[in-house]
Amino acid sequence: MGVVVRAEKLHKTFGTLEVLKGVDLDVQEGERIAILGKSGSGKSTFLRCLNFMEMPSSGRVYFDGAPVGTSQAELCRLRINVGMVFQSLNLFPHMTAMGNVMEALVSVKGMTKAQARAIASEQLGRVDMLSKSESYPINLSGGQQQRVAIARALAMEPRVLLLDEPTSSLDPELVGEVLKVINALAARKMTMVLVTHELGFAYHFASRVIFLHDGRILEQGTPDQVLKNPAEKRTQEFLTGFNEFSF
Amino acid sequence: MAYQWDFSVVSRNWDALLAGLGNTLLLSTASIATGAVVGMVLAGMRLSGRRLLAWPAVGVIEFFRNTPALVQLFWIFYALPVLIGVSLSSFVAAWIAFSIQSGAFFAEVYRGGIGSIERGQWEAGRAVGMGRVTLMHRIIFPQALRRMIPPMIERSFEVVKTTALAATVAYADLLYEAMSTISKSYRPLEVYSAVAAIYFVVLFGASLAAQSFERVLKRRGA
Repeated sequence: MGVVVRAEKLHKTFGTLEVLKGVDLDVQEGERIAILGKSGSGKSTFLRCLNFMEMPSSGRVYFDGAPVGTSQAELCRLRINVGMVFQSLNLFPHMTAMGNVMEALVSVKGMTKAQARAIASEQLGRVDMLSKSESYPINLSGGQQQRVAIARALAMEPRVLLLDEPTSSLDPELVGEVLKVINALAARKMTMVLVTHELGFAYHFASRVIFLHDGRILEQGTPDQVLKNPAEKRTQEFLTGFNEFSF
Repeated sequence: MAYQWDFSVVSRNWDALLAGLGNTLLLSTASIATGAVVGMVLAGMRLSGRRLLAWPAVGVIEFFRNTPALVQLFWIFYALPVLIGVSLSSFVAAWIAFSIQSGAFFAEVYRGGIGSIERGQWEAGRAVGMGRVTLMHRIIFPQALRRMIPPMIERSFEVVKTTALAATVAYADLLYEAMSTISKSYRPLEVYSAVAAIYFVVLFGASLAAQSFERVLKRRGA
């Protein structure tokens, strides 16, 4: 069990607004981390700094122990290893579900179309979307689109998967199918970092819960520690109103 | 006394007018094709994020969008040869003028098309490890192209109409042939009416074709 991704003293400033005020994190192989916090706490920004969707203002990100530079080649290599699933789904609308999953296998990894198709079929099968593989995103529901997006990220065989509120843009009845897919990944020991508002899901999903407040990690530990017996007052406040739901 | 229409002047000079139309279409096609490339270069420079490239591009784009095409043509036909010591044929001068001018407009069409692609598409491409070139080539440009096609077609029609200015530097386009027919026949009413009708038939026909092309694109979807 090694550290796959390490964040060291990450700061991020937008204009005059300091969103991250020095966040450290070691993501261990096989860990499932859920990051919680109020809107504006910096949790999405932090996640997006891990694969440089946002450039950290200062601090470092390490992958497999080596610091990641900011050249395009290094960023591309990092992003192949650190996949991401977005709140806004972001499938490529001009490609079918199959095309979406195959695309980077061919254009980034240089596979033949036949190799890419074989991998894409397997990944689409795992998210139960093989029957819709020739559909364009516009003809898929939000939940189906997000499952394809997960297959697209996994096809690259990342070591870590970052999930940025993957169910927040979905209609309530579609949330379950996506969470089911994420659970299946957890069962296969996929290393994941999840930003979410679904506390109940986080409780069952996570091996570690991190509570972010005002750009800093305020509290972290097992789901039982953080969600059932939070030490910090802010965490308790955040959880008030959720506690009537059973975890 | 009522005017005596006599369209036989048009049919008698039909060959010359047709040749003029041929030259109009030749100059139009050459200017649109070159302009499309010029526009791509200008848009690329402007979007490069490097001031040394972006500012000259902005200069060219704004200059050619905000001066009359006729002045540009005269400058290149009459003034440029003084500077470079080589006199240009009327075709070459018009080709250069209308290529850069349409290029300036095309550049803005490209920029608008690329700028209209949502941030999430760029991020999704980056997130699977794409570099700038792959991202542009595989994700952004194909989507932008669909949005660019209608304004590109619109702009191209403008270019066809603008080429009529080349008659003023004695390029033998449709309008020039019409004027020389008139100078021999003294029948401006019939000839100019016929010329207007020819432009209309050509451009309206092309516009109908373009519309059905756009419908096909939309049906092919996504």
